[in-house]
Amino acid sequence: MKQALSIVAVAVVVGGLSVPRSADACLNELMLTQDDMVKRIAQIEFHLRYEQYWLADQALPPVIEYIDGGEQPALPIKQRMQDAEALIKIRWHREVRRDDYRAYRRGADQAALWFYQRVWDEPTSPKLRAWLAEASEASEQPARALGILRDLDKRDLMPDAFAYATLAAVSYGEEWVAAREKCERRAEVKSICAIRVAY
Amino acid sequence: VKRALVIAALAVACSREEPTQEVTRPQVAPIVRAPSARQLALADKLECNRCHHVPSVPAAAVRDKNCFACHQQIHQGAFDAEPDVLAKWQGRIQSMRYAPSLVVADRLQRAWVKQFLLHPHDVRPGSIAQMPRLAITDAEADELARWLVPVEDRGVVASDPSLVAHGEKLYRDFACARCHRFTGSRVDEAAMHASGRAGNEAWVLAPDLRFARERVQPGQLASWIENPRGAMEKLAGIGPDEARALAAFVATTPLAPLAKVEVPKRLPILEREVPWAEVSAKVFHDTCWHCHAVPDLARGDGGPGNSGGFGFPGRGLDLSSYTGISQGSVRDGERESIFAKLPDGTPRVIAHLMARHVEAAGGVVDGVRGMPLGLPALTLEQIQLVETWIAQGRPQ
Repeated sequence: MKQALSIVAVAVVVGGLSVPRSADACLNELMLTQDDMVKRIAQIEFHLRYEQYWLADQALPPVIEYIDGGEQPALPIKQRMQDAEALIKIRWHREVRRDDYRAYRRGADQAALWFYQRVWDEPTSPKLRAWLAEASEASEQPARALGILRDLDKRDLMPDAFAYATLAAVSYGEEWVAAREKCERRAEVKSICAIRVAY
Repeated sequence: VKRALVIAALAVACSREEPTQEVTRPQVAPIVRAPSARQLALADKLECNRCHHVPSVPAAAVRDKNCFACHQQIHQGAFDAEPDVLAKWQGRIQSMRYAPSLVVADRLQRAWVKQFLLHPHDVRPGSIAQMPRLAITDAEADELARWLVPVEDRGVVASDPSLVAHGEKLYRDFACARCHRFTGSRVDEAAMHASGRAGNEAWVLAPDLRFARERVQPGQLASWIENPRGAMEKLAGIGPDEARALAAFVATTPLAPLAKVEVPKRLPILEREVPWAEVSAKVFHDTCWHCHAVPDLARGDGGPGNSGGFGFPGRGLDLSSYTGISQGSVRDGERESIFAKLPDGTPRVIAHLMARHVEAAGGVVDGVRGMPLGLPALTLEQIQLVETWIAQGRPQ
């Protein structure tokens, strides 16, 4: 009996902890200023946006250690960390690990697999689909990247300039010109549009 | 002899005509009628307790969905946050600090409550936030009105000219205009009302008395003035006679028709470049973000405009970042761009922002809900900024 009660008690506690609490959107500000994990993730995402890949890469291990140390953030926060990790593999390693093609390609494949799973869970998310396209392009699956990005572009749902940079990388002719133009118009850091050349 | 006197007195009392022009009775306790399961489900769906104190419904937990309680805690310094963050927020948060309690809605006219739920308009000039235009059906509004106003007092307000004149004098003596606007009446004093701005609950929630005659049950008006139960403070030295006179004045003084509010025209596209940083700081991150935020960072709730709320389904619209806004919103399970052009060429997001101006003028745009919901329309300059940014290809 005692054992049954303690199992129920543990189940209640664990259940209570695992159910995400609803929170005011206004708390985005509070979380961004006071929650250590959210702050770190936001910082990594900031570095990624500004092509500060080295800084993003440096900021990642403490977050992973934090999680490995037993601190379990909410699933979406953990997924954002893993998204950032995958993006670092395809964006930064593209630049610094080109000499070690196997390592780069391995990272790109892992990223593609990760985003494939993410899109499987959230099939309508333009951001995740664009990232899957970016990872697909890096792992030399241009047809998949092109299919995704053409659809997003047609529906005016391209999430950012990186998506246009990827579209430019997998397209030709007028489509390439249009993608480059849109990339440069939308990019915070214009150089991202020049990274990739067409196959 | 004694018995004869008593009988005579009773006979006189019974033969006295009932007053037909006024009913004033002290009203101290709210009329409470337990809501039905359907009414409770409606209040739950529409999340009335996110803003209001609702009879028989517990308040939403602060830091979860109770917008007003949270803002009040921030201003009181009681909110659990770092002092510098609190100080920053205290300087910024102007709206949504006080909402009327629905416990005292029982004094209102049921028909007015129903119409107000269906077609909300600005009743309280001191309040920045207004009743949002909910996704509510006629039957649902009727159901809620029946719950909030379980009994209607069919009394009438006295209209004796000398009483009305006395009421007007009292209105001035009590300086009612320090809290109330009374638009269209000869006692309306916008300047005095503005000077009374104290930011306190009574001032913020004081309704424009122009609406009192259609809004408050006639039989409740005098008793409310004498013994208010809501945010209104009891006037010092007021008795039943004064309350009756004030009620007579408020309910019968002539009102000039309201000036027709013209829907303003959109401003032309700006010549200069408008970057994302500017449009975000002045529009999206200033206003829209509070309801259209990132669920990931807020433990799963991106606000009513993202995760759903106030009876609206989740639209998944995140206006907190460039990537978020570029991802559009969910409609019928599919994402669609908020910049997609409507048949007249207007980007959808601009149509929503302009629709709020139409609503402020008393109209409704079919199929397009005015945004920001429950707040004043954005200025034309803000809308111009957004439209220019869109026309320029949404540069980041």
